[in-house]
Amino acid sequence: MSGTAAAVPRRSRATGLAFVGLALAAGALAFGVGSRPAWLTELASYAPDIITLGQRHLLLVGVSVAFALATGVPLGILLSRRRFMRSAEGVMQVLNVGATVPTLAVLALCMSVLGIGILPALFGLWLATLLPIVRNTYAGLRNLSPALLDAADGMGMTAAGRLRRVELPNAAPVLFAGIRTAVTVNIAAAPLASLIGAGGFGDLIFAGIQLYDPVMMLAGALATAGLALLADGVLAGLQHALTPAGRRRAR
Amino acid sequence: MISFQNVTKRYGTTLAVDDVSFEIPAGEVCVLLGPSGCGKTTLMRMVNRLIPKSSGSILVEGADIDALDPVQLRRRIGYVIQQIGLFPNMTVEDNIRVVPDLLGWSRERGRDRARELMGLMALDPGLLARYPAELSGGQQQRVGVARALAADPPVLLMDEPFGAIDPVNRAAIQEEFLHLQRTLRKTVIFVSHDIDEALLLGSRIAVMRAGRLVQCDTPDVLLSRPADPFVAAFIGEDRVLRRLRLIPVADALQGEPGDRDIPSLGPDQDMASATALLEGSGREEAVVVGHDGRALGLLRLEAVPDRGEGVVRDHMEPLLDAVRPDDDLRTAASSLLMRGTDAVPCIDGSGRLAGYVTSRGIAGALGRRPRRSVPMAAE
Repeated sequence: MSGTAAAVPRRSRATGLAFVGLALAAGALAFGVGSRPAWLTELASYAPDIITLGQRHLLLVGVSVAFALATGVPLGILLSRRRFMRSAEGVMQVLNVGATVPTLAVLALCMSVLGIGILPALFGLWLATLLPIVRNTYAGLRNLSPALLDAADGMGMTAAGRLRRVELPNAAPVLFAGIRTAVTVNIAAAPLASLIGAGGFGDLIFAGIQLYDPVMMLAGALATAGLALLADGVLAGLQHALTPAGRRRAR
Repeated sequence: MISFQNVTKRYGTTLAVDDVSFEIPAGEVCVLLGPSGCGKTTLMRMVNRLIPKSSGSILVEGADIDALDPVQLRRRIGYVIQQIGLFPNMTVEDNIRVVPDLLGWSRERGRDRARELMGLMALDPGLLARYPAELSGGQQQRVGVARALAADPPVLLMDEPFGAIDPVNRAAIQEEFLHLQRTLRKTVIFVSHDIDEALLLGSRIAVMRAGRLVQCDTPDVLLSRPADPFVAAFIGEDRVLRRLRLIPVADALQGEPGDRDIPSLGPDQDMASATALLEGSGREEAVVVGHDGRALGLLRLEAVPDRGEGVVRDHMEPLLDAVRPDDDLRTAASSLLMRGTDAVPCIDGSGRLAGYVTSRGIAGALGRRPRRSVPMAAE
């Protein structure tokens, strides 16, 4: 649990590392293909594909994350309530086991039930994203200082008021760490959706692998990585804006 | 007023609070005192229904708490805890305004009240825009008390509020609380395991042991007549010394001007008669009192080598370590021991000699019966 909280400041370093990795990958490719910039021109020719496929990728990510938030946060809140205290750990165990099933396997299972196309892909991605959101919502709320809750109750806050004014704002850093993990996991898993006919950047990557076309593959991979970094950056900004100032300085 | 009637709290087969009955009159600070696990916090938390009681009834301001909605009840009762529990996501002002906001006060009224409370708690109003994490522990607990007082509740519950504060700050905040309570006159339940704190802040003290109320009395009665060996042991073998703090110097004064046993001198008295007077009474020193009754200085025989010539005025020394009538006897006793004499002069607010504190006077004051006793409601 403390691991999720500690991941917050480490994130920016991870983003920096990812940029270095991308630069190295581009450099290695330039070396492999030769010093001619022809591969760059070729890469640039994928721009229209990237835009078209990007829309589908964003749709997959956006819708599955939205559903994961809409279900995961309330579920995390519910599990953290006192009356679910007994069952909460059991539910978390089920979710943990669920998360160990590889996304590819989940997609395959979804496909066998829901057929091919965007629907099973959304379902599979939703499932992959759910766990970090539920876990961090739950952990963030459960790890609040009991004194805080005692004070809130003692002053006559209603349960809903306490949740809105005290619990959620103070759990926000941990909650956001979960959302950022979830979104990154989601974007990274979304190319697999291509395998069950849902499209997205996976189309470029898997076609590139099949055709042994490294530039095509790279176009898809770079686009995916870029999107993940961009999304994480946007969320970092959002997190900063939404985390109460007192909590920011306290950390 | 808060009234406990046969209040019991059962956890399984154990009795956390066992048939407790007593009353706390309006405007009094009742300290619930006892070792940890004696049920004092449980008893307090049943008042605002944070813990449901198993049986019995509790009346707050004449109303049975069971008849009230717990949320509404709590908004009318101030609540301070040892861990303070300020909300880190809110500014100091927002923390103080929690209950006023819950009660639907206007923005302006809430803001004015927060400002007023900062003044009352000796806090810089500039801190209102800060976050709790930026404040020291002592400042945080002052805000905690301000927050509890925000909506001006008639009743305050305080659970070891100053227990986690360093001793220097604790003494300061205790003094401030005492001072505040003299004007606010809240009905306070104050949980503590610190006998000194209880004696300082409590207008009555309820000693608990294993869920039962053992004795509920004023500090003076508690110290002079502990109900049983447990209370006596808990308040300490040195309880006579503790009582010194509760008795003002004014109650132990002897030797008002004109008293033969402890003479005073006039400034124009000649040294020969002054010396004779002192030697006659077997004393080493005397206060010099002017015609208007004001103390002018001190004449010490020791400081006058050859029995002196001229008048007293020429030989007197400034009066440095006198006590005041509203000092407590502990201060006087300490002064007595430091001076190494058998009498400490007491000078009142207008500079007149009010008398002397002697060890005999202190013993006499301690021997007198305590002034009031609190009847138990159960009778």
